[in-house]
Formats: sequence, C-alpha cells, structure tokens
Amino acid sequence: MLQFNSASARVVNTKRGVIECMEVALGNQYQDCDLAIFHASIGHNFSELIAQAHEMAPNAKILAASCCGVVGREGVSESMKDIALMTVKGKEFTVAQVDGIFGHNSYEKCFEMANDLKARSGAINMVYFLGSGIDIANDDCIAAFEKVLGSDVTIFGATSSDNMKGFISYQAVDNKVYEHAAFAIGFWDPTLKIETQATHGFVAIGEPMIVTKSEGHIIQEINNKPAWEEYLTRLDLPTDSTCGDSIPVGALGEKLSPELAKEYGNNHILRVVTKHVGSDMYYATKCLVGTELWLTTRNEDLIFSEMERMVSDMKKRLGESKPVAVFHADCLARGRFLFNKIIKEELVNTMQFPFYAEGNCPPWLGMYGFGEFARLGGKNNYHNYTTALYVLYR
Amino acid sequence: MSTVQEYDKLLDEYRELQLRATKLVNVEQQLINTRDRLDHELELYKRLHAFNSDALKESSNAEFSSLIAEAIVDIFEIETSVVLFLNKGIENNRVLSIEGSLFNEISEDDIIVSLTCLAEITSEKKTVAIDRKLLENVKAFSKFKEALFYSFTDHELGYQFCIGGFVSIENAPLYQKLEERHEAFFGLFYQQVQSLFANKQKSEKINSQISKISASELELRKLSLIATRTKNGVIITDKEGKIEWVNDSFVKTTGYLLSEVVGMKPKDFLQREGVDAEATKKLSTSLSNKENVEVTIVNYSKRGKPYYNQLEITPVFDDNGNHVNFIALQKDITAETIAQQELLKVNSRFEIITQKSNIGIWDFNHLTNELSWSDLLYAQYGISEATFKGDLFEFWKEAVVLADRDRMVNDLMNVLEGKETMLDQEFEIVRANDKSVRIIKGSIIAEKDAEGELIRLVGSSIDITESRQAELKLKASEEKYRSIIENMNLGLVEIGKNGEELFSNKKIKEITSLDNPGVLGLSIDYEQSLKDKINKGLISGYRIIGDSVFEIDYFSKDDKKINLLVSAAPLLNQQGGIDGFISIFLDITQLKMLQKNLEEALHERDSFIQIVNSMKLFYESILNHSPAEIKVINPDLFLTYANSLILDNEIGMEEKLGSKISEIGEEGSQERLRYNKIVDKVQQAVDLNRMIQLEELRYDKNGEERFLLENILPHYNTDGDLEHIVISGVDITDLKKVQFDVLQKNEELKKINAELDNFVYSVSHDLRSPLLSIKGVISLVLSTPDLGEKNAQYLKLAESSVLRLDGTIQEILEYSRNARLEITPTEFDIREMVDLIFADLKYASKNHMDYILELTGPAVVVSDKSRMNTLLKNLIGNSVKYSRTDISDSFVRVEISSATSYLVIKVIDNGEGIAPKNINKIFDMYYRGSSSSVGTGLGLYICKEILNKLNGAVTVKSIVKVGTTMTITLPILKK
Repeated sequence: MLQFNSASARVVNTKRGVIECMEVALGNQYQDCDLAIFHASIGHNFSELIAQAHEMAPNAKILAASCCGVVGREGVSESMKDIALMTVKGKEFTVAQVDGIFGHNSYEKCFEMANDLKARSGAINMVYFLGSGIDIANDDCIAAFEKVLGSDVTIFGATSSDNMKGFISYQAVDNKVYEHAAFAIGFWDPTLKIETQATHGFVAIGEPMIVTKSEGHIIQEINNKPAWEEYLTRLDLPTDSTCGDSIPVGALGEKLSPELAKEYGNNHILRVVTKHVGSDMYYATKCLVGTELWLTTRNEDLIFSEMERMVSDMKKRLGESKPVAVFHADCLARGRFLFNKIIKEELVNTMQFPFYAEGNCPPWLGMYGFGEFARLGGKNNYHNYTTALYVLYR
Repeated sequence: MSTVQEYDKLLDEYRELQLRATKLVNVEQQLINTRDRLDHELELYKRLHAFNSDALKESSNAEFSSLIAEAIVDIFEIETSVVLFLNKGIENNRVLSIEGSLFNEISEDDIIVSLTCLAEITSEKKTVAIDRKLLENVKAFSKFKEALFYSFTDHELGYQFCIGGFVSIENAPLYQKLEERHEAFFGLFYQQVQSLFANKQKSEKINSQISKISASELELRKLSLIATRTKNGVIITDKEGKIEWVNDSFVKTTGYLLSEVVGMKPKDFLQREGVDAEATKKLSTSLSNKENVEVTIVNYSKRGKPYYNQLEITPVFDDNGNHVNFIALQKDITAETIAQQELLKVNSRFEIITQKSNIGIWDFNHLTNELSWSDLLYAQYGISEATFKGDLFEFWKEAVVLADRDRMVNDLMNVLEGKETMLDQEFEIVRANDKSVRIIKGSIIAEKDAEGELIRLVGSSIDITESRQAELKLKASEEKYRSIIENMNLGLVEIGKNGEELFSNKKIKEITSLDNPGVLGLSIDYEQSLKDKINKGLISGYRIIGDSVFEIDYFSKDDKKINLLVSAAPLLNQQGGIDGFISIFLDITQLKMLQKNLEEALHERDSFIQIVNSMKLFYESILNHSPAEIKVINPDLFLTYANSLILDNEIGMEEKLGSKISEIGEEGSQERLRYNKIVDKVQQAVDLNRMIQLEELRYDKNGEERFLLENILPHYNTDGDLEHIVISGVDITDLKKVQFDVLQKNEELKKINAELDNFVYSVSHDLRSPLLSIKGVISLVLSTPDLGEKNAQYLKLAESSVLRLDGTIQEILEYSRNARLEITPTEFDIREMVDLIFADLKYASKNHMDYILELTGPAVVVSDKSRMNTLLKNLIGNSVKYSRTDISDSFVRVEISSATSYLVIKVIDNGEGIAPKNINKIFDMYYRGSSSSVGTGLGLYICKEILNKLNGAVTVKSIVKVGTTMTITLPILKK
C-alpha cells in the first residue's frame, strides 16, 4: 500500500533546498522513500538536486521537473528558487522514461513508455505523466497511453516549464538531466483511486479566428495570414512580442460540445500557443484546418466560483473516502502573471482547504507548468490555462 | 448607401470594436504587469530586509560572505554569485563564497585573480553593471553575458571585499535583463554590505579588546587570591631583589613578619654562608641575568632551624619590557627530602634483593612525578636504560597488550586516587626486543605520609611466562588424558588391592548398566577372580584369549547377552608393590555378530562369483557376435576388453589389451594420435556424463580406408562412481559414400536451378519485347478509320490476349526478380506508394470503388521498396479485381501501422471473398481463387515468395460475399 509525504521550500542553495524538503517530508527516515518526485524552479541546478537526493535516499528512484513555481502543503511560491517534493513509499509503482520527445514523435515515444510500463505491471490504473513543455503534441501522448493501457487508465500530470520564457525545460531521471524528455509513473496500488478535474474561468470574446493552414500541432496560417503575425495583431501586441508577452493575454479557446461545456462550466477549452520558426506557432494539441479559435479574457469572479464548484464536485465524488495525496498542475499564466500575490494565495487556499483532514493539508505537490491533464466527459484530456487537481484517495 | 456598403461598414466597425476589446485586455494586462512588478519589487525589498536581519547576527567571515552570496542570487534573481573577502594584513586569510554551479570548473585561485582584476577595472570605470564586452576580457568570466559587480577596500581595517552576481550566455534567456533599476538596487545593496561589514569588523575589534581586558582583570584577581591563600610562600621583590611583600605562608614557614623583612634581600636573612654553595651560585647567576630559576636550597628560619626550600623565582617585566619585580614561590619540602633520602637508602638495599630474586622494581614519586625502573625491569620489557628514550609510563602502556591495558591503567588510577593501597596484578606484555608475549605478575604498593597523602608508588614485576606455560601444559595434558579415559570406547575399572572400586569410566557403566561396575574388576589371580564372578552370578562364562586377556559372557539387566573382552594389569607403586588393579573392557558383541555375518557372506560371495562368471561368459558371447566393434576401458584408461570383431579388424588389438590407451602406439605416430583423440572424447563424455560420438578414419588389415562412428558411453555404478567406459564403433564407410554422392548431386541441382531462373528471366524478357510490338501494332490498326466492326472486335480480342500474356510474363519476371535479387533496404514514404497504387487502379474496377488509406505512425519506412510495391500492388489489385458488381459501396481499405521494429499492413475489402476450402490454396502457384478471375494465378504466389524473402508473414480472413482481410506483418529493415 503506497504512502505519500510532501514538503516545499524556497531556498537559494539547491543542496540545502533538497535537504530541507527531505527532512520535512521524511523526518530522518530516508529509507522510507522508494520514489521522490521533485518540482523545482528553473533557477535551481538540477544535477546538484538529484545528486543530493541520491545521497540522502540511495535506494529511491529520483525524478524531477522544472517549473515556474510550486504549490505545496506550505502554500504557494513563485520565484527562481522554489522546490517541492512528494515522496512515495511502497512497491506498487513503476517508472518509464524516454528522451528526445517532440511534437512529431509524441505518439511513438509515449507508446514506447506505455509498453514499458505494461511490461512491468498489467494492473496499472493511473499514470502520472510529465513531459517537456516545449514542442509536444499532448493529445498524441494521451492516445498512445490509452492504446496500450486502455482508455480506463487515468492520465494525470503536467508539462514542465521555465519561468514563462518558453526557452527550455528540464526533466531529470535518476542520475541524468534532460531537456526534451518525459517520464511516466504507473501506479497499481489496488487500494488507491483517483479523481481529476480542471477549471479555468476565462470567457471567449469576439469572432473566432479560423485555422487555414496547419500541419499536426503546428499552425501555419490563421484567416489565410501568417499565424503568429495575425495572432499578435488580434492581441494588439507589437510584432516583436515574446511568449512572455502573449501567454498571459493570448489564451485561445476551442468550442466544446454542450454536454462537455456543462461539465466543464465553460463553453470553451483553452489552448496555449508559443512561437515556432518564422510565423508558425506551436499549438498544444493537433489542430486541423477549419478549427475555430476564440480570443478570451479572464473573469476573476468566474475563476473563483468555478474553482469552488470544481472542488465541491470533487469532494462529493470522494464521499467518505480520505485524500492520501494531491497532485496539482496549474498553468503558469495563472500565477503571478495574472494574479497578485494575495489573490493567488486565496485561490490556492480555496482549492486546498476543502481537502483538509483534522486541520491538516494532505501531502500536496503542485507546479506552475505549461499544461495540465485531467478527465473531461469521462475521457482523458489535455488542458491549458487551468488549475487541475488530481486527488488520490482511499 | 447600398446594403453591401452598409454591411461592409458595419463589418469594419465590428472588427474595430474587436480590436479595441483586445486592446483593453492588453492594457489591463499591462496594468497587472506593473502591479505585479511592484509587488515583486516589494518582495525583493523584503528579502533585502531579511538579509539585513540575518547579517546582523554574530557570524564568522565565512558565514557572512556565504550569506551575501545567497542574498545576491535571492534578491537580484540572478544566476550565480561570488563574494571574496581578503584580509590584507594576514597572508592567505581569504574567504571565497560562491552560490550556483557556474564556477565549478574554475580553480579558486583563478577566480580570485579574476575578481581582483575586475575590481581594478571597475574602480577605474566607476561602474556596477558589467557587460559582455568587459567580461570576455577576464579569464574566469568569459562565459558570462552580464554581471553586477562591486569591490571596496577599507584601508583603516585592512580588508578588501568583492561582491558580484553573474548571468551566463547560455542561460541568459531565462533571466531578466539587467537594467538600471538593478544597478541602483545593487548600489543600495553593496552600501549595506559595506556598512554591515565595517560595523562587524569594528565590533569584533572592540569585543576582542574588551575580552582581553576582562581576561586580564580576572587573571589579576585570580593571581592575587592564589598568592594570598596558597600554602606556599610568596615573595615579591623590587628589581634589586628587595622585598616588597610576602604572604602568610612565608611568615608561617620562616617566622619572619612582613614588617621585619620589607626592604631586605631574602638571601641576607634566609641563607648561611658556605651552606649549599652550588644552589646559591645558581640562584645568584639567574637573578643577575633576570632569568627564571628553580632550585632547592637549604634555608634557615628565624629560629635558626634549617629547612629545604624548593624555590622558583620569576622576573616580571612591564609592557615596555623593563624589569620591575621578582616573584618568588617557596615551598618547605624538608619532610619529603628527608623521607626521600631514607627511601633511597632502603631502595638500594631492596634493589639488591630484587635483583637476586629476578623481580623487576619500579618507583613513582608522586611529588616530583618521576618514574624510575630497575635494570631488571628494563630487561623484562626488552629495553635497556642506556638506550631508552621517552616516557616510561607511555612505553609501559603501549607494551601491555590491548586486552589488559584498560584494566591495568584503571588499577593504577585506583591506587593513585587512594581507592586502593595495594594491588596484585597479572597481565601480558609484548616484549620490545623480540616481540614475544610475556606474562607478568606484579604488585603495586602506595606509600602515604602521615596525613594520608600519597608520596610514591612502588611496584614489583616478575616474568612468569615460562612457569605459567609449564603449568598450562601440565593442566592441558592432565585434562587431555582424563578426557580420553572418560570418553574412550573402552570400559575401565580401577579397584584397590582388596577389591574395592576406586574408579570406573563412563563407558563401562554404559556397557554393563551397573552403578558399581567395580564388581567386574579382576584381581591377583585373574582366572580365580572370573570363577568367583560366575559363582556370584555376575557373568555366565569366560574363555581365555591370551595372557591376562579373557572373553567373558555378561548378561545385562534386560537379559541381553554382551560379549566382553577384558584385559587386566596390576597398578604398581614406586616401591614396586601392588596398589590395585586396572581392568579394561571392550564390548565385542557387535564384532562377534559381524564375524558370524562375515562367514555367511563369504559363503554367499562364492555362489555369486559362480553366477557372475557364467553371466560374463554369456555377455561376452553376445558382444562377440555384435556387428559393432566394442572395447571397454577402465577409469584409468586401461583397455580391459575388446570383442572378437575389433580383434579381427584392428591390427595388433590383442597386444593392446591391458595397455593404457593414451600410451598405445609410438610417440607422434598416427595410431598414438588416433588414440589421443579417443582419450579426449572419453574425457569429454566423463565430464558431461553423457554419450559422445566420434567419427574416425582407420585402415583395416587389407589397408583399405574405413570410416567408423564410435559411441563413447561412460558407465557409473549405483553410487555414482565411474566404473568403465564402453566404446562401440559402427562401420559407416558405405553411408559416407552415399552422403558424398547426395551432396554432389545437391550442388548440381542448385546450379541447374540458377541456370533455369536465368533462362526464365531471359526468355520472359525476350518474349516481352515482340509482344509489346504486337500490342502497338494492334493499337495502330484499331485507330485506323473505317475498320469494320467485326475486325475491330477480333483485334480487341487479340489485344486482350496480348495484354493477358504480357501480364503473365510480367509476373514471371517479378517472380524471377524476387528469386534472383538481393534485398535492398530503402527509405520511402509508404503513403505515397499506396496513393500511387490507388491511382493506377482507379479505373481498373468494373464499377465504383472507394479507396481508403489509414496510416498510424510515421509514413516514412525502411524496407525493400520494389518488393513492397509488388506486394501491395498484388494485394490491392486482387481486392479491385474481385470486387462485387452487385453492390454500389465497394471499397478497399489499407490500414498501415508502423512501429519502430515492424510494420503491419491490412488490406480489407468487401469483395467476393474466398470459400473456406480454397483459403489454403490461394498462395499456390497458378491457383486462381475465383471463376471470374482473369489473372495468371501467380500474383499471390509471388506475394508469398516476397514475404519469405523479407521474413514477413501473412494471414487471411475471408467470408464469401462479405469480404477479405489480408494482414501482413513485416520487420522494418535497417537502412
């Protein structure tokens, strides 16, 4: 039976950050760690991070991913020196990993990981997936996992990021740090169940833009014009704007069916776009010609009310069961680039407090990344600009 | 205005509105960004404040610089930072703190040199923000894009401080560009650091001075207290030696009051001329030279009583080095000195005694802390006084073996602390000269004065190694024999000369179950003694075996007969008289039974040998009639048997019987080589524990070549021990000939086959050219105007026959090509290939048909492109050829899944289908699956051949009037 512990800290020195997190999460019982998952801001040295973790827990599997900020039991922090940890004790998990994952081979790489997981256990019922956040076709990833493990398997997780520069993201597995890798943790603890849900609280505005030329997850033209230029024009941003300028205001919405919209609490699912070569731009999933894309604007009241609705729905679905750990993926555009510190902390409190047991927050590992995975309409789905919670419970 | 114009105007306005809406969003975001930046800057100020609080806490320079390094990274959100502190007054006193890993590969010295160099440059330029241009000129910083740097030197306090934050070229996109506000903020930061550090240094200096003063004051107070209260006399004189102050103890010892001696020199009233001249001279010389002096001198009290004064005089100098005082400490050691002198006398006598009795002696003077050893003790420890240098006590501790060391030291401490006054010890030492372990027996005696204060410790030491070893040997020997007697398998009874039991061992009690087995002991007249025992019913009979040896029949308590062999002997004392008798009993019951069984077994053995001999004859007769040549060798490789066939066939075999097969034949001869080969195989068969075959060439008596296939089989007995190795050889000369013929014919057949393939290819190729000419001519004729309807019909029939014949030849060519050509892996787009096949076949169907392609995985694959094309063309062509004409939604769907190592292609149609009975035949040559077929019957046969060549596989599922699914699995080739 798997057991979880967590900790988070803002410490400048990477080694000390790891030591603090390990001490808080495990006391001095480092042997109680079979798996350690770190989320750390881009300012940390990931080689030092995993080396220190190995030194303290030599028998544990060590995984790490970069992000823009972390959320833990201790609260939220977005700086260059954040670090958060979730430790797992037990044997009912396995880890698969690939390097060199990009948009064009996302399916094959995830297919390989899924087969790897399945070869080690046939009873996997949930997969924590964390891949590079730059140039990756996330719907292909879901399709590959489902092809091998079946559509009943719940895929949850995030995509690693930097501090919203869209320049690089890191993933570390065991003793190596990668820049375009992904790892997947397959859990098969039969006593463990999972609930996932995502919410954003943005509202579509104006007339949609039409994708007129695309290839896979790369959009080449919108409204018959070079995609990136048209996108910036519609946002009224200067032509030399970077992703850091466009991401906070440039969420694009795809229309949902009425049934899904009802469950989602919104008519649109959001997608993030980043600049590719020339005027092409990356879309987070495959985007067919003819797709309608709406510009959106945030609605603070809706963000709070939808968050409350989501957490309340999840609590209802949990019933009498107790959360044993919460994984959490948040879009980096929902961090300090949209909200001031007070609102952000309020929002995190709104999502955490309902899961408290006897005054204590359950082990919690959250990150501000490029994307989120959560079920929608009973199917695994990929989201952007959302808060996605993954509550593991018994 | 027309409606169109109005619509356009409205559209323009609408678009304008949209742009405004997004602009508003952008403005809102900019406001948020500004708010966020302020929020963030507030956060940075908070971090700066936190740094100030931490820095104010007391810490070392290393901790302080490490704190600054962390603060730079934290507050300025910069990649890495360096802090250097150089104490200019003290060589090598420097502290370098680095946060971040970018300096890992640069030596500390290089960093320091580069920092001081950067400090010089920036002090000239008076700048804090450093750009790439400047950084690339400094060795350690060439990989950085920009930096914030400041250096300051405090000449008054004598230190230099360099602080810097750096961003690498590689990671610059992740960090904020350093702007003016950073520069200003850094300016604020370094001012704070400077101020904090200056305060820290000053504060440390003041604290250090305060501590020194406090320490001096305390020291003075302590000294004053000691001087007043000490039991020793204290005299303070001026620089000329005239007394300024004496303490109470001085007054008590000498009888002189302070008032009486102030202004006098001690020598004037404490010393007597001519007494202790040597000590007086030493004292005088040292005082003249203003040196410390320690001396024991005879002084006189006011009453004229002499006493031994242990004196220590120290000159006192002021801060400028001027001599100002003498301080003298004196102690009356008269009692100790007299006692010591007495003791020395006793000691010298004692030493003579101990020398004679081989006892080493040591003496420890508690008052002087002096330890002395006698010569014998030196010898016991394997050292000599003349050559030994060092601390005797430390040497002794090291010499004591580790296991005893703590105990010994503990004992010694107990005596020293007064817990014990006398102790006996036994311990082991390692003797220094020969490193042998010696056993030492020692004693310690504490000598105390009348007040019970310890004066000295005296110890003795005897090396008892030899005597202890002898004792141990004796004890071990005694125990050994006692154990032997007690545990031996013989019963033993010792009786006195009057027949009383003196001793009986465990075994005799076990054998007889008697509590007093002494009743069985024999005495004086052994035979008479046995007769008495029969009369008493103790035994039932006896037989004489030899002189003093008898076999007796004894019945145990449970009436079980026991045969005992008994031997008796008298026990003689030193005078030759008899003290008693010893009887030794051996239970031979089992032996007797064994003897009986042995006799029976011998009889059985004789019968068995007879049977074995007859069986041996029987098996030898069989082996001699065997068609195989059989020989047997034993585990030592000696030839023990050869059947008649081998005796007939192998020259000189009879002489070889009984020889070791590894030694048969001359050294280096063919025969020796042949037998060596057999020896190797025998060894192999034994090692593997299974039969091994050996094919050998031998010449028979007529000199003809003969091939033998020999089976070498090791044979093991039921205990698993190797008994012998059977080698049976069968003549395979004829078989070899047949084998040779077959191989030769095979080669010929391959050659013929290849020629046939070439012939088919050439003929097909040659046939095709004229056929295509005929086809061209028919087309020409058909295009001629005024061609009659009938003629046109005949010509079309001819054209169709030509086309069919061309198709057949093409397929034969494809078959031939597949057989002849090697596989050529090529990278190609399979989607394009299928699309082209679809395009080619689009008009081949009799009615409308949907062509569908579904591809999962990458389109570019590596395989034999030509063969793949033929394969897909045939399969898709079949689906088109056998499509149903009675439906309107005919389709052929090609599903391709490509993975990293294999390719799965499904060709699915809703055509005529194949009847179950025919499914197994469709891949046969010239088989045509349908009556409506117009093909040659070679298509699927070629497909099968191609799949064989590419290591692929095909499965077929088909239902008549529903459709067919052909599934092909092919490995992806390596380019």
